[in-house]
Amino acid sequence: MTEPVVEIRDLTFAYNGQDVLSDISLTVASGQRLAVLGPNGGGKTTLLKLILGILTPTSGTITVFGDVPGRQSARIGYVPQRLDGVAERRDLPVRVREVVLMGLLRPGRNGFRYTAEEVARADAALARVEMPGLADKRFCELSGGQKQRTLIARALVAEPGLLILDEPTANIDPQGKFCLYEVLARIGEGVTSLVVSHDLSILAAGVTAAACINGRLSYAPEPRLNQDMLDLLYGVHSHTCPMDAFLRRMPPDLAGLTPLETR
Amino acid sequence: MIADLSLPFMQNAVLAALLAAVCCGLIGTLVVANRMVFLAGGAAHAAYGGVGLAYFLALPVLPVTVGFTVVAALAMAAITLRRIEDTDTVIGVLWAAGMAFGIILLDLTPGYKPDLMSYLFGSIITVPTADLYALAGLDVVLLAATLRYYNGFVAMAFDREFAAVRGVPVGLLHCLLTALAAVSVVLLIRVAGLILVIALLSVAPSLAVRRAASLGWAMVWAAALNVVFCLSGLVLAYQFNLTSGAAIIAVAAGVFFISLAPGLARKRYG
Repeated sequence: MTEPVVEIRDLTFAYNGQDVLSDISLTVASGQRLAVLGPNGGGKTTLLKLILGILTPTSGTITVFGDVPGRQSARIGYVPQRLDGVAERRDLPVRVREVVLMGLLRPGRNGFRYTAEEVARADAALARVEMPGLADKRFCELSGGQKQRTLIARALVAEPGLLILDEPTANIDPQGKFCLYEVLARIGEGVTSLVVSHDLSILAAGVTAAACINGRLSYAPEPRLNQDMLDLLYGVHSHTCPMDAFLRRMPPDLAGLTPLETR
Repeated sequence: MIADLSLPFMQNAVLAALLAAVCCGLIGTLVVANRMVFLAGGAAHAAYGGVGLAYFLALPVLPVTVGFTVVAALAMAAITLRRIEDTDTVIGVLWAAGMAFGIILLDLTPGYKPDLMSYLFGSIITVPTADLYALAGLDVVLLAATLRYYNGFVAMAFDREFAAVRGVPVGLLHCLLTALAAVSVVLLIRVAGLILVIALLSVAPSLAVRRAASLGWAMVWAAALNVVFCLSGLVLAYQFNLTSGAAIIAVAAGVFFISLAPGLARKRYG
């Protein structure tokens, strides 16, 4: 049995004295593709930042590749949710290939130029996300979906042992010329990945396990949601509430509710 | 005109213009790309505190001012690095506090009091040779730092969080860039005057970053544009007996507004 990629035990994280996450335990095994679903403000991004070592837990432990978070960051490919306005800036001249090459930076690797081998790897990563021929374009001239794919290529270029995607469906091209789910399912094969989203449709992107997070965490070893997870996502509603009826009508295959009548 | 180039002060002015153009092309592009123009302005004004301190302690002005400004800039960098949301307030307070500190120290200094303003407003026509050496040294340091940390600077400007995750020393680069910007501004103000420095730091880099394919090319273009602005401004100043700094800024501003015109026309008629 190989060592788990991420192991979280009894983790609690408080911000300004309020618990954002409490009593979280989660294991991401090697080769697993886990989707973490949760409402906005439920602590999804906090969990990612804890795994990346950007935040420190209030109590409990996290190990990433058997080490303290942040120590093994070079083995993680991270795709942020958005670039907080940076992606929209026209006054930062940077080519698409150069953005992908940033994924090859590591401590001590600064310098001015990249090697031919590094450039070849960047171009191969761009081909993997179906963006060949756009390498010399300025990043700010891309569409939202192309920017998203460039950031995925930036995460893939270093052949990460763990791929982390934060809300990858947030910037899909509305024209639908490019199917993000298809690419995610394909590039995810063989890569241990952790996808965080508020969008249930992410379960269609080739994930092998699901978890829901909203303060606490509930886990299922298959890409389906159980009753506990639906409660975390949408809250518990009384029988008179229309939301209760809506949740009952949820496709049983997606929600994995068996049997519906016993609720 | 060519014959007049044999005059030492003209040679010094041309050399100073070239060295300042390269310096502003490099540091200006990095400062604009990292959105640190306000930070550089704060450091420049905190420099007045260093001048006051030097007079109060009767020490040589330039080393004390550079040292004081770097310390003030690093303080700003350290505070802004941890609490990004308060950046503007912190810089604003240090901006004002630095100037006030300098003026109070000058008030407390007995004997002859120099005009603080005149000390920091230089003139490119009267540059002493010693300042040219200082500027050349600064250019070398800036070029070395840029070549050494270029990829890190670009990654930091593009996506600071990702750069940190990849192990880029973001905190170190943020402080280094702030310190370099502070030293550059202090040295350049002595040579070229505050207004000309702001023009050289902002006009050419902002023209360059919107058109260049990479940050490196933007630096080259910004430096080249600055050379053109400075030399043509100096020629105009000589021919028509104008103030040199103002003539250079007039050329830069003219090019800037002409470059805006196609975009404005498209917006109105497009």
